[in-house]
Amino acid sequence: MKKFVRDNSLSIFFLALFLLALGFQSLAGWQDFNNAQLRHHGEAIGYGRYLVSSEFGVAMLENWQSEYLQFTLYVVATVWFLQRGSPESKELDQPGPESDEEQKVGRHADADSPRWAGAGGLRASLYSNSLLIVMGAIWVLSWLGQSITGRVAYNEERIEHMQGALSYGEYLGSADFWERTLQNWQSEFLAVGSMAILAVYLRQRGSPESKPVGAAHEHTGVTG
Amino acid sequence: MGARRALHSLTICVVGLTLAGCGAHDADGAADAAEQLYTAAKGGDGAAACEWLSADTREQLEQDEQKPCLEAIVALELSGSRSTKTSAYITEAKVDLDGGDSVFLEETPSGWRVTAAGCKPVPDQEAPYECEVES
Repeated sequence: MKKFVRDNSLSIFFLALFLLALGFQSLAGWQDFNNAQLRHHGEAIGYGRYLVSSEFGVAMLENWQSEYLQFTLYVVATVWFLQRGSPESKELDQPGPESDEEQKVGRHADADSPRWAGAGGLRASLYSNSLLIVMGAIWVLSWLGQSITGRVAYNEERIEHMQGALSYGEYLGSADFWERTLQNWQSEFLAVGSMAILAVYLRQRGSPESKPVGAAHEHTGVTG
Repeated sequence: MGARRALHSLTICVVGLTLAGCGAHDADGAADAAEQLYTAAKGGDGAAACEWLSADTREQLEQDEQKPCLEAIVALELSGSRSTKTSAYITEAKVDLDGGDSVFLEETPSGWRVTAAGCKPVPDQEAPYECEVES
């Protein structure tokens, strides 16, 4: 058990943080929603009902989709794009998907390689892109969820102000949908871009996200 | 947990939450409240009609018309009796009636109550409807 916790401490740490943050977000969101209800003499709703409401759904999913987009883009962009001196980049002479030999695919697979890596054909192609496919699928599903729950939350607000409700198609072209989407995208792109550059010059001793403290700024693709 | 199982669980979570969050509960109750108000007001039963108004709207109506709600409400120009479309979202709803009126409602501890009645859309989609009575 102790070994299991140590071997998986990174996943466990972030899963615990995620659950704590989501729990407190739901409590704060519920309070905020009911405060707004009381301001216009509406009815407060119970916590259980808030948890399955689109108000909570859109607040959660608009952030999920941008996080998964960020990592999806990072996975695919780092195949071709390089950053001199960054531990986030491959070495400067290795842009692209690389050879089967370098990637241990097909007949170049090791004895302990994942089965699909050595299988060749469609299975090897799928497995070669499986991280991108799964992260991309979660992004698309989260964004779809944001659009559906966002429309409900926005229409609630419109009806409260005696405006007509928007259809799903109208909502996809609305300022509300794109403001929710882009405010999250821009912050993710900024964080990822600044990490790629800052890691050229700054260090965190012991972190694989950083180069070794004494590594030269020019060294690319080195992690510590 | 494998990637496939993780994705499967996430899909169920997202779809479930989305479906659960799609509508307000008891959308039929909103249509029923709108129809009851219109039936009572057009039948001359002002007391029954006023029961379906929200407290704020009732107060506003009495203030605007300078008479008790039960007298003011039967004098409103209301058109329609049966609902043709109900759009209910969390705690707010809009009911369209066969006579061309739209009715706005909110959920209260006593159930759905009308916040605006006798409403017609205006050409600007972003502008509020024009209503016979509103809070």
